[in-house]
Amino acid sequence: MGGTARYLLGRLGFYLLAAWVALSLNFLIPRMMPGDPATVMFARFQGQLSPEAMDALRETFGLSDASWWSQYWTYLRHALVGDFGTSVAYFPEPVTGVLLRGLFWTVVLAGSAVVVAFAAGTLLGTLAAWRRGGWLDSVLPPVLALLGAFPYFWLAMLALFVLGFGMGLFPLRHAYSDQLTPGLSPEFLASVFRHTLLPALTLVAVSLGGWMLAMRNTMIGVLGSDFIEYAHARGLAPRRVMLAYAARNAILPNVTGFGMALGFVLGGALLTEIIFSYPVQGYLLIQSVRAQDYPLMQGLFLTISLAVLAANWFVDCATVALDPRTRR
Amino acid sequence: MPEPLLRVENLDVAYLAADGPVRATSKVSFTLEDGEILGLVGESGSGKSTVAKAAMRVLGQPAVITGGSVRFRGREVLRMSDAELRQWRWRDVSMVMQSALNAMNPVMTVLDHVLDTLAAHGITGAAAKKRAGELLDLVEIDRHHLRSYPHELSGGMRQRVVLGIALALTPPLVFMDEPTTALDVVVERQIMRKLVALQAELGFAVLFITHDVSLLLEFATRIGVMYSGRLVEVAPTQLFRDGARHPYSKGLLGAIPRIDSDEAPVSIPGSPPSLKNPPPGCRFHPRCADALDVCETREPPLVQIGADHWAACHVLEVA
Repeated sequence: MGGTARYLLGRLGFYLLAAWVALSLNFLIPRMMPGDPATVMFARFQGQLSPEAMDALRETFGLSDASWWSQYWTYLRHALVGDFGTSVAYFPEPVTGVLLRGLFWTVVLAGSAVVVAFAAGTLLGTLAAWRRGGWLDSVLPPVLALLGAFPYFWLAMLALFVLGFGMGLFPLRHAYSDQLTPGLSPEFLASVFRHTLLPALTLVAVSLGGWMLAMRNTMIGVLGSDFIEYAHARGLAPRRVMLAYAARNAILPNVTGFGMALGFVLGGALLTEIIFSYPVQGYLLIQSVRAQDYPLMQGLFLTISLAVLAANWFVDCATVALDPRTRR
Repeated sequence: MPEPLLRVENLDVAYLAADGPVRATSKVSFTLEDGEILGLVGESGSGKSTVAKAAMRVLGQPAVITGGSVRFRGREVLRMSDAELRQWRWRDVSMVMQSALNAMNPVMTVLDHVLDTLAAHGITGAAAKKRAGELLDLVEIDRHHLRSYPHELSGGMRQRVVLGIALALTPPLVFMDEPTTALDVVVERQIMRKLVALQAELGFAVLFITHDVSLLLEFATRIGVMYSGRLVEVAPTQLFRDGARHPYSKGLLGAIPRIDSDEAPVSIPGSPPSLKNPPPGCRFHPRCADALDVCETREPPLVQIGADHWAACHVLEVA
């Protein structure tokens, strides 16, 4: 057990190092790009800005002629307390505020979609493999593969048009009704649920097949193992063999995939966001690049990198918990 | 006459292949009495493992039992429902598989395996934990290995653990499918001695499957020889050692190296036939030095040729 803790701490150390590298690249890359945000802002005001105001802007954005080393030091100090400066595109809101807003809705929509797709897909894959050749195994894989093969934006627009616009079953845009004030009231939560359902379902529909097929195929391999035959021979109940022996061992690759998918959730579901006017993070990313909004860009890239690293560590922990052979 | 512990009659098993079924065993018949060790010996592909798995009904796809009967104390195993089968397995008959490493779930501890087995038969909680400790004592493995995973044990220890699990519910019958094949000879001896001691203590019967006839000469009560899916000779060990009659049995005995004589071991010429296109008549006739004309056309039935001595050979019928 001591070895396991040391192993996981070692991995954590590695990811912290990787996080520092990400942090540093995040500092360097925008500084190698041509132009700067103050110039963009200056251009946006179409010459109505005085040179003094320009200087003040540069001051606000922290654009200084100081050496990169001292800038880097300041950047690191601020990054540690979560201060990424002021957004250019959403001036004068601080980057952290813009990020948190996007982050929240991203987790609500894309996060829940990934969790639901993973859970449902893995369960369906388990059942399909267990009753190989049964109706579930015959009907679902081709249907889900077909769904997954559609261009996502087309499928999402079709769902919005038919179910939302045509049949009026779902709201057409936004994360909650405009008439409500955000809060923890039941009306507001219900509204969020209604608004999130359709975009989340489209995300689940296109990814379900992947989870199901991966689980099904791994589990069929596991079902051929001697230890399955041995479990049956010992008189174990079929459900116990299916869950504790077959699915338990087959789920490992899916858990790795799940961790990776969780990490990429923060990349945002850009198409979902555009089609359903749902305020997730993907659009922020484009906006920030267009507006040369360095602080926002940096904040976004950093949260995405950190999320991927955190997800990796989660996968490491889950793998160690699920597979004793990986313990040292 | 009371029913024997296990009576297998005319057992036929076929493997369904794309180009038609392959008969893995045909018309295999034998009985097994309480407390005896019946050894089944044969080359790879002779159907010896198939017989054991079929008798316990754990054959996986694409193997199917196409005929015959398996009776346990008079009860027809082949007609048991799934629920009856689950009850019967392990309480009345357990098995030790060839590779303990593959038989155990790599992500479960020894204790998990024992508890799962006991729970399937209604033993849970403190009683099950106590039993798990007793079983390890029985096979002389330190109790702290209850917390071990299969990959943390040596091959010999794993095989002992699996032997212990087989005795979890003290069944009257244990099938052993080449339990020592993967081990070196020293460990093999240790395990076999342990097995015989436990068998004497607890009195269970064993169907022991191996390709090593010398092992059976040492430990078995009776020996059955399988060739190409058929049982060709069955005799008590003493009788078999001194007076095996089937040419293939004699060939097996002649192939054992001896330290007490200068005679070199003689191997049986040729190789076992394919099950897909078996030779007509007696399946052994292309390799048999004594073959008669009739051997090429008619298959010899298993007939009694002496007290408790059965063989399937035309040469013996003529003599």
